[in-house]
Amino acid sequence: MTWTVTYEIARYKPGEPPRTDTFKVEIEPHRTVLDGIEMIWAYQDRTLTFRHACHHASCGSCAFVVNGVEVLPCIVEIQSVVENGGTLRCEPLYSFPVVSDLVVDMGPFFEKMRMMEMPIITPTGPLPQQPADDYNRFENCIECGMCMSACPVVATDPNYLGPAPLAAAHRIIQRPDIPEETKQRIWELVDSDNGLWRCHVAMECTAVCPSDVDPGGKIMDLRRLATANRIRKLLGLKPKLPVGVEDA
Amino acid sequence: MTTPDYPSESKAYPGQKPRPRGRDVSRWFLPFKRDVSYWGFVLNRVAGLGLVLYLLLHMVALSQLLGGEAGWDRFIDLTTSPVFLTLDVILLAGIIGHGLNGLRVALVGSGLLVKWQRQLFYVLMTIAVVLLIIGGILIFTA
Amino acid sequence: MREVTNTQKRGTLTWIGQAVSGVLLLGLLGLHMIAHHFIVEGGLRNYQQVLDYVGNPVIVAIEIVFLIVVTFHAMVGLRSVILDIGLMAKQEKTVTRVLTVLGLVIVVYGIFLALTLFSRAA
Repeated sequence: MTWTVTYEIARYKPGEPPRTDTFKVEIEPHRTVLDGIEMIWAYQDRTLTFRHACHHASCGSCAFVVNGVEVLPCIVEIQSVVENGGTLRCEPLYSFPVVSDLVVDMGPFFEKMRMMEMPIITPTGPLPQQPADDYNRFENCIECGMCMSACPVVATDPNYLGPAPLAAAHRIIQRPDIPEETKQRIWELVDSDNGLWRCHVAMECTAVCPSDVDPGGKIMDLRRLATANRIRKLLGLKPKLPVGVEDA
Repeated sequence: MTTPDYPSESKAYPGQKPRPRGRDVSRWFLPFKRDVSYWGFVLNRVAGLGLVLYLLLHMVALSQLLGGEAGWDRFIDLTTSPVFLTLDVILLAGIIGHGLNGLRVALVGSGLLVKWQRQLFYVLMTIAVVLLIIGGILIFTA
Repeated sequence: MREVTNTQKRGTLTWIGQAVSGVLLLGLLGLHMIAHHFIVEGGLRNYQQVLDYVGNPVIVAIEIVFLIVVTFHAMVGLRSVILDIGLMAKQEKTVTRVLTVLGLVIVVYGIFLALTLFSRAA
């Protein structure tokens, strides 16, 4: 049994004005949104560009916007977002420069993640004084960029670090294996007007995260650290920041 | 210290010029299909900007007091019209909405009750609606 | 590349100020609304009723404190919204200065108004 689903895809090629192309697809309702995109590419328009790799939400490559909401289309079933005869509006992630069609330039985002010094290779075993499930928290991040697309502040402020880098910082400053100068540099970036204090608690980052990172919660946790520490300083008490971080 | 700007030319795709996404202020006011906390963000932003404008207008209006009884009482007569009373109710909605949601933002934004931020929104907005109904009735019946 | 304004200290302190002023306003603004809209018959106070109200020095003091807190909260909030556009470091400083001046003008004018009415009531 197949459904007829209309895909309205935001198209862009360098040198041409942006446009919207409409494609009709006959597809089983349990198939995924990405399956539909691949069918369009295979049978209707070979110029359609999009990213895809693992097809099971572990690489984060395929993220784009479906009907106004950021999703990983490789795990979103057609029947969960549309009825038979319905329309899927597909756009590239917001707040990222568009290279072509649904492919965006992740460069600026990865630059901000690199600034958080997230190491590629992690030492084995849980870190001391860390509950086991909390150790796994940030390692869940697949750097898909959906939180950055959903954040209303990232949409207007290129200076703002954004949810994913701030969640990365939350992890990094608690790791005992990261050098103190690195932690201090990251804390200064994070505890600034373009870091923690640019967030306005829209919590959309947590809502769209496919990997349970809870970047909004991580930002609030960092803000609790910074606020409590500032109040302690005002009251003449000793600061209580993670090891290696000093509030100047 | 610098953060990366939107590139005019892509490092990953040499020779290609990605289409830049300009600052999209409309993203501040598009709560549809978004989580409930996004509605809180929009409410705070719209009400806050409205209240700043009201503060300025209010200071201008209060200068009528310098004109003595004649000036002020004439102004007060204006404010009893149904249009003004309706504006008063809208002002009250802005104040209560911004105030109670702001309380939630003050708590959650300081890292407190973060896990209950959605429930906090529902509870505080329910209180806000009740207060608005009471205030609205009082404004129109006074 | 954009220069990130290093406003580390100001960031946390500004937030604490905004949160505390906001919570204070729940009480102060509530009192102000009730006193001026819901106590007097007919809602708003006429000229003589205003003078009767501000003739009390404690009331004048509370209203001035309220004015300072609400203006601070408003200017910091407005600054936050403007900074969300993503300005360069120099522009951020200009915005802060302009809003500080605007805030001071509002507070000074408000204090002048309050004291003028207080003197008329005396």
